[in-house]
Amino acid sequence: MYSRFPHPMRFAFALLAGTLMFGATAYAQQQPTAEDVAALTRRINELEARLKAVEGQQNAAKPASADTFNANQPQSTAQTPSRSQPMDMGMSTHAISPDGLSFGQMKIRGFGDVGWHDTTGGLRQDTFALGQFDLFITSRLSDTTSILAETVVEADQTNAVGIDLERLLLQYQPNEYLNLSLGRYHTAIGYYNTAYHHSAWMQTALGRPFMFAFEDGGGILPVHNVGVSATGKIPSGALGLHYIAELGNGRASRTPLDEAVQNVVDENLHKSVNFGFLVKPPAWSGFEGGFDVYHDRLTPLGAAPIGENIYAGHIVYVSSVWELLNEAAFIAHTPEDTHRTFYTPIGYTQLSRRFGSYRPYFRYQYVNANVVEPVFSDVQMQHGPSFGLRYSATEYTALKVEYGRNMIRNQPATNTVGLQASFTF
Amino acid sequence: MKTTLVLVIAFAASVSTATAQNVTPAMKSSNDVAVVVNANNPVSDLSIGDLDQIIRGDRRFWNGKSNITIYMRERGAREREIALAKTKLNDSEFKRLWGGLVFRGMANAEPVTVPSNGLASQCVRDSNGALAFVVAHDLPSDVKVLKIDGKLPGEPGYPLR
Repeated sequence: MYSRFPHPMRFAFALLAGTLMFGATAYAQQQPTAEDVAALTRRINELEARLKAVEGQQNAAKPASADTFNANQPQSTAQTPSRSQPMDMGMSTHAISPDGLSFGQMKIRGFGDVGWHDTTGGLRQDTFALGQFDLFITSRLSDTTSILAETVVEADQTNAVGIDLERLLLQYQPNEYLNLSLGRYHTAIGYYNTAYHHSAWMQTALGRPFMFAFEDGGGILPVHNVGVSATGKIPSGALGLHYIAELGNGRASRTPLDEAVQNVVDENLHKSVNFGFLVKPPAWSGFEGGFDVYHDRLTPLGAAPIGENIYAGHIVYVSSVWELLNEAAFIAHTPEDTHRTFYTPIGYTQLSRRFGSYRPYFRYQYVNANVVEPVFSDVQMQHGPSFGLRYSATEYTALKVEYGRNMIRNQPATNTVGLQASFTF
Repeated sequence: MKTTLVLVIAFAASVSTATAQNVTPAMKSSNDVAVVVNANNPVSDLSIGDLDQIIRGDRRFWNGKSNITIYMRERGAREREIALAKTKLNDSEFKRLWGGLVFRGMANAEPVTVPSNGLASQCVRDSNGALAFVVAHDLPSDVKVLKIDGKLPGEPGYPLR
């Protein structure tokens, strides 16, 4: 038989137990025991250790999933890429850590080009040709320090393939007034040399202007140097003034067979210096004007030392639509025995405009070296136009076609038709 | 004792972050794109011209001293499209521009792509030099929202919308 109330004994026991539990809980809430504190402390320590372990695992996983310069998948999607998501290959995927960016992680980007050209007029050439295979590596070591390296694999005129370390720089940039680089750099003479480096893909035209041809390709400017380079802003308000100061080994001149860039041994005790100023008004985005003076002392074997001064200036405007490049330099060589100075003017102008994926361009270049010039006796006077079309087939691939005519003093003019596929990856 | 201490510290921390932010209820109901920085960043106001220079990489330091690190949403995100539209750059040009700055050794890193507003805000919280674009209704309470041309998100005439 059921009653309205529980069994009296059961009810009394429950009432007693409830009273005791309530009292104990209330007491415990007011006065935590030493055991409680110890237990909580242990729990906190366990949770902290577990959190550290999880963070460690996340950091260890980051380089493998998100550390390529060019694969711009956000970290969470890089591991599980979705076919429906566009590949955002442009921006780097820095591993994101609690402090924003992870340091010390290497990023690699590649550039390459292959092509074909047919040259008539002088020695006929009709050939496919490998261009440069350029591996560009950066690593941010701290908020102010980074590493930059550019290594190029290319074939020379004998078809032999070689590897060149074109740039290797330890950079220190504590603020916008100083960007100090130590190592092998591209000399800040003019604009083109420090704008496009070894990437054919970044350039509009098929190749570099003759003015900035590489030393091992017959170029006459010291486009590479080993030493220290400093650039930065000069407080100048709307003018946007910047400075350039470089100190390096300069170029080799002992014999024509020497490697032009003095990577580990300087043939003399004299160092090359380069000072310049740039104007980049913030209100005129894309405009840059600059002037610099380079000085070195060449010491060819069996001849008097030669003083070398290069005065270079440029005015450029580069926007997403227009590209207008104008550069000129005077190279002055003064043998110390005759004190006669030979001036070699050199320059080019280039104009292009983008129409969607197409960018037609035109370039005219000029150089005039005296036939008895002590360093450039084989250069003579050369000038001529070239025009072509760059077609951006994809975001990472460009196809170019170009016609160029080069007129050389006392020699038949050459005509060249070239095709190139350049790419970045 | 220790638990009390932990609670006091947590409370103090919440009070200190709460005082650093300037997110208003009006922003929370807005669809504008806010420009957010770390709460310790002394900068409070940028002109649209300043912002253009930062996105283009012409200006890469806060007050000439500490690096600006841009956190951008992924391609296709509205926040990214609105930010880039102000600079008249498309994604491809933006990519090429910053790739060139790094290639030339002028910048030591490119902007960071993040997949969510939450992660963008987290990066801003954790990095003193960070700048991110976050839709206003997703703003957390512990970041600093910059005025653009003197206006905050949700106000008439705010340029990023």
